[in-house]
Amino acid sequence: MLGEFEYLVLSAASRLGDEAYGVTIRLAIEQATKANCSAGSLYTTLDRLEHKGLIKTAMGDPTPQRGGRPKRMVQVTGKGAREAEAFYKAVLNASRGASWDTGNAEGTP
Amino acid sequence: MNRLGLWLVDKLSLALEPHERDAVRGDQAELRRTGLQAVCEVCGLIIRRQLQAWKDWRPWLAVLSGVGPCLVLAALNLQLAHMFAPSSPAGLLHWGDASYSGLIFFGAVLLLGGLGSWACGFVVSSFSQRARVVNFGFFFLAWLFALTLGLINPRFQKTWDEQPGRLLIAVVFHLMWFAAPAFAGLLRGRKSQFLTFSGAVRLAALLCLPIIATVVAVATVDRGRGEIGFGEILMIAFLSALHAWPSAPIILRSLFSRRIVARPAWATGAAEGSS
Repeated sequence: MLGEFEYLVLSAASRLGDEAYGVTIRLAIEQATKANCSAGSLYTTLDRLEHKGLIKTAMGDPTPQRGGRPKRMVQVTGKGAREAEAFYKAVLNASRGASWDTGNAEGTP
Repeated sequence: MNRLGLWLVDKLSLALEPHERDAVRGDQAELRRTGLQAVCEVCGLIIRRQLQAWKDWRPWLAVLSGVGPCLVLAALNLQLAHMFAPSSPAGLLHWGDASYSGLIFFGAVLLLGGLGSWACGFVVSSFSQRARVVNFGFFFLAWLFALTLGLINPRFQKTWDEQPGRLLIAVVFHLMWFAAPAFAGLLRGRKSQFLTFSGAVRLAALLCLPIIATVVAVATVDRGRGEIGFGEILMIAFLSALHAWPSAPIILRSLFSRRIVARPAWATGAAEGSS
């Protein structure tokens, strides 16, 4: 079973497609959670996901915008997509009937 | 990012793997992080990496086989240096007058001190590539502790009061035959993780030979006098064996080196075309 942060990284990487790398994934997670995403947590999670075979990473080309340093490009594998889907379904199932799962969260106590 | 921040981040990020260093520094440049933010980010990543590395068995083996013996060997080396050091540099010329067994013992001490400390440094550095920052710190602290403990020893204090030149020679001897080889071992282990099997066996043989020579020399020196008992010889054999101990994991590592894959394919530049 995935951890919640692992799921966030997988979803961001999947949504970003070919543009998924350190900065874009961090921004996507920060936008979604409204919380800070540190480089430490992101890069250790990327390593863990790669070790589990859920993502593949590769060093991209260096760009002047990055001071001539390459990006670490991220690609979600088939296994990663299946695990993320399973996690999503588990969260949906677990949330069913909970007070916040009313369909119109705004204004409900 | 100001110059101080840039310099600090550059130095700190050396503790990261090269590919990760590039990716993180690139991200920081793209996000236009300030010096303080960049330093905090790199520190956070280093701490996480170090903690993660200690879940593995290798850093623990490095502590057991490198840092532990370093503590004993440094103290022993300093004691022996104190025993052998002449009172002035001119006294170095009279070492040739020493007895045959004394010379064997002295040669064994040189070989054990030099090679043993080199092996300790190599084990610490090569067995814990990821945890090397912490292990380097432990290694340095162990050496510093042994050095301080040796120098505040009453015998050393007495020598310092009566023959400061002798103590100075002892410390120089210690730096040359313990600290310098240990540092060389640390650098060698940082450069490459493995010794070839034949190299590892040669190292072990060179470390074991002085053990035998030391015990024989001590037994010969004492022959007929009865001052040194079996217990003392056993203690000398134990301390000598401690010098040889770091070579055991080096041999095992060289045997199994081909089975260990430490980095992902792309980190070694072989990503293209690999399945």
